Amino acid sequence: METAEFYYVYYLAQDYLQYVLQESHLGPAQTRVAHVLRTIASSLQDQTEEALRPLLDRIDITSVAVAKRIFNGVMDEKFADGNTNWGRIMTIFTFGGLLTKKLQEHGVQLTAEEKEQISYFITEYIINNKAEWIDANGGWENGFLTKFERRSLLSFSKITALFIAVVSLFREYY
Amino acid sequence: MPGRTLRKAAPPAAPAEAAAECALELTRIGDRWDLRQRLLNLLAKLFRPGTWAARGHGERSGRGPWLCGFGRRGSTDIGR
Repeated sequence: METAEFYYVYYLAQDYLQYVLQESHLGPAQTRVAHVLRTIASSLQDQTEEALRPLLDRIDITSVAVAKRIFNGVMDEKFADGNTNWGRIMTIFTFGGLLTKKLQEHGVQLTAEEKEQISYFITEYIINNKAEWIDANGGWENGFLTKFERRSLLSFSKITALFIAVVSLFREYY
Repeated sequence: MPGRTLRKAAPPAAPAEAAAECALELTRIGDRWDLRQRLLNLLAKLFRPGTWAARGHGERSGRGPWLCGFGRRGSTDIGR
């Protein structure tokens, strides 16, 4: 039987994949975490796609089963150095999104059941391998949100510009 | 062409190799994003209104509030 934690991550994966596939019936995110994940991971999605497309073009992703095998292999390799951080956790979702898009491009008809299978194997990986780390680092609400939600208030460029302005002022007077 | 060896096109990398490269790229992207976010949060913390004012260091140092006592004798932990 799946735990509440499993269903929590499963919802996040499902919501994110629907968002990446730009499904028309998709309404606003049901939770703050899902909302932030949509915003942050989708900006990472473009970067991931740009870097990985030439590599994935070499692999035939013809079914959900193949996608699952590739996903697990890549994830094991990615975390082989024993390091985990929220940035790497985000790329679990972006890679899942990329594989889903590749399946679609390959002409695989993605039924609701197949999309559920993809969300399921993404969740399975996170729960079996990263749940402990996520818990130890504040969980989704206190760890992930604290780290990523602030970005929406002040953009990186605005803060950088402010920082440069203060440094120039400092140099002028001292 | 005589005297010229024919160069074969490089064979496509094996899927396992491509998967390993994917993993490496994802690690890089994830780590870079994490670092960027750490930096962003640090800057946001520094520039959050009230971060320094609440400490009242600026007034005590008699210089710019952003100095927060830096440069004042005894402001460091080196025992001056």
